[in-house]
Amino acid sequence: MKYERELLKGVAPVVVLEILSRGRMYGYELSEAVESRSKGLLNLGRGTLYPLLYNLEAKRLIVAEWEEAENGRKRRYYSITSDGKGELARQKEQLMSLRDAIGLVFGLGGLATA
Amino acid sequence: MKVFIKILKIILGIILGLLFSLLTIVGLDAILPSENPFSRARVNLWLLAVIIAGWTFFFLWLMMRWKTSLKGIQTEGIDSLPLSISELIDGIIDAMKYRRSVRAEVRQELTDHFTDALAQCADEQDKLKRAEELIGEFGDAKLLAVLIRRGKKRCRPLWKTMLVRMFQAIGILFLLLVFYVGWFFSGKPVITTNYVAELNQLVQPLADDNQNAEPLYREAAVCYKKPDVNEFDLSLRPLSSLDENELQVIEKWIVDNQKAMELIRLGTERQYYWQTYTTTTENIKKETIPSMIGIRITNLIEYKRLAQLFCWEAYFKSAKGEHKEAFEQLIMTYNFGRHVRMQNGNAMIEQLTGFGIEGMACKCMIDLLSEYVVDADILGPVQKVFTAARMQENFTVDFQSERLVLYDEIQRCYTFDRIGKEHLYVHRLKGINPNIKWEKLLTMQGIKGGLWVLFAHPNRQDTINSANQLYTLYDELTVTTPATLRTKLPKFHQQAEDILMGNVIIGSLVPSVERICDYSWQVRTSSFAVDTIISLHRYKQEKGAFPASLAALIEEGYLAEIPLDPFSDRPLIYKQTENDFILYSVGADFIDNGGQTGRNKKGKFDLWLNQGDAVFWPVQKEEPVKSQSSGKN
Repeated sequence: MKYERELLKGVAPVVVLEILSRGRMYGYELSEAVESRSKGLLNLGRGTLYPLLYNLEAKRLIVAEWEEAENGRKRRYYSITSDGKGELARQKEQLMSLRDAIGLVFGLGGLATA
Repeated sequence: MKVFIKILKIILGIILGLLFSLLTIVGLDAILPSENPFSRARVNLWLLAVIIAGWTFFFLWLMMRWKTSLKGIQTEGIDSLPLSISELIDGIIDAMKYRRSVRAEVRQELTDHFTDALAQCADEQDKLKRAEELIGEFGDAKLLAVLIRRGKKRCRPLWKTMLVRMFQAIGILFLLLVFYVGWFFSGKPVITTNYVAELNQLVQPLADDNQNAEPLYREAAVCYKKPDVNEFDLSLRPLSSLDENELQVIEKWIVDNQKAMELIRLGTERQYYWQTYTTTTENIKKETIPSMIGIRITNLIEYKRLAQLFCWEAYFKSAKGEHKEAFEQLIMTYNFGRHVRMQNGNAMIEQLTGFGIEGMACKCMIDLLSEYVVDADILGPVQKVFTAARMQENFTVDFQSERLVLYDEIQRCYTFDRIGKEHLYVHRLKGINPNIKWEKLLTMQGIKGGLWVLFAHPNRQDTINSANQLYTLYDELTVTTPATLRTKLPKFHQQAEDILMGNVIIGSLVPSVERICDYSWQVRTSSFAVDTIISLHRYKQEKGAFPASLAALIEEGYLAEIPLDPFSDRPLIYKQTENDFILYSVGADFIDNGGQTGRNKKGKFDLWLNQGDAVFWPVQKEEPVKSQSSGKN
């Protein structure tokens, strides 16, 4: 299923932060993780991943550093910062609340049953 | 390779810097007036160093900012990627247009990404197929480059962003300044009004040319012969204070100039004096419409010398007992001075010369009365003629010609053509104010002045308005007595300062008004004093004693009016003494010092010093100095 671009744009930072909250990753690894954890439903678009990472870095929500990987190659690893964790918690809460609200509107149950 | 490129950039930066410095210096030398900081005679090393350093640093900075090709960026693994992928990466990096180090980092990261993405491919064909899919997923390279650049820019620390913005702002300001300076140094004035013609129209009365004394005076100046002894004290003093040698020199000087003196005599019989002002040959060559500042006013020194000759001759005549002739000659000299200065619109220098001649005649008349006893029968008619001449006289200073000089310079000091319109024309400023020193441009005062002239100087219309306001103020000043002006002086100075507002054109061209006006009041006071002293002597001869007060002179019809002292706004101070009297003005210090005259630095009496009174009677006599006629200056 392909999501609307604008819809995905709003969710993408939370998804990236969520995945990085479970451990540091380099760019390709991150894009693979997003795809696999969403069972292929979320495809951020590889091209947009790097600008997104640089924007999160600029907001001090993640940090990046070059490190040598196991295979001897240098990779740029991204990890979440404490600010990033706080932001993630806030964004997650909002998304959950949004999900419940949409559930209520669609008659799928929601907050009341949660 | 990287080091080589850096060295090459530095060398290129220095070469370009020097080349642009050379162009700037040659260009400025061509634009600026002949004597400028770049001309061979006046080369200013500081300014040259600033220009060379400025351009060199600018080009070095530019070279450092110059993006080299991607070839210089080392990226691990990019060569093992399919060509289409490496082209995509380089397309993104090229389009990023950002710092080389950041581009190198992004290039490495994208290469790693694609290397990982293609790692699972079994064979080359599979790799190529997957590469096509990946390129599709990445989308438009240019858009991606823009997004990456934005993200990377946001990653910069705040201080770095501020620094960059600051340099950008400075760069923009510098560029604007370059354009502004270019504009400022372009354009030329357009001269539309011939103020010399206007002045000639102003000074010429509605009279025939045969009523004009000027041709006779001019001819007299041509005929004038200097005294035989070059260094000779020409200042007027009674003959009793001269030695034999001096007497001989002066007598010969008078004899040599009889023709010139006769021409002046004839001239004073004419009703008017006006001259047709012309400009110097050099001025005519340079400018189609002659400029007021180039007006040639000649002969004034000769006029002054001829007036002195008349006074000397009067001393000799009185010494022979020819008092009537002596006084008539002095009144004629007084009228000569009045002629030279009093025509409507006369140049300031002519007015000053005229005042000087009048003052000379007054002093001489008082000297004669002090040296000799002159019969009341002679003094009566003399006074009648002198009073009539004095009563017709307007002692105010006429600023009309000065006003025209200023108007003319305003039209020459502002550009009025092409794109560089309506700003100061620097070439001309240097012409009207030779005191501008290019060397001082790098001092704090010079920088302030330069910035003022560049950015804040009043424009043409404001300058015209200021000129009008200032001369209205001066017209008011010339009819205000020094005593009244004294109380208003701070206000007057403030008003003049407010009008000038750092206007370099007006500031350079306005005359020293207070001194000129003071001078006119001094001559006016002297002429009143002469009238009064003559009447006092007549009174004594006819009544047997000097009167108790000046009012008696009026009552008895010896004097038309009480002589006012403009330095006190009260009558001249008159006191009877034993067989004599004292008559004085409080003088330039405005204080009644009881009739004590000040002495100048040479120890000589000086009526109008800033100390002491201007004592007209008794005449202050210097100790006779017995010395040789030469070397007395």
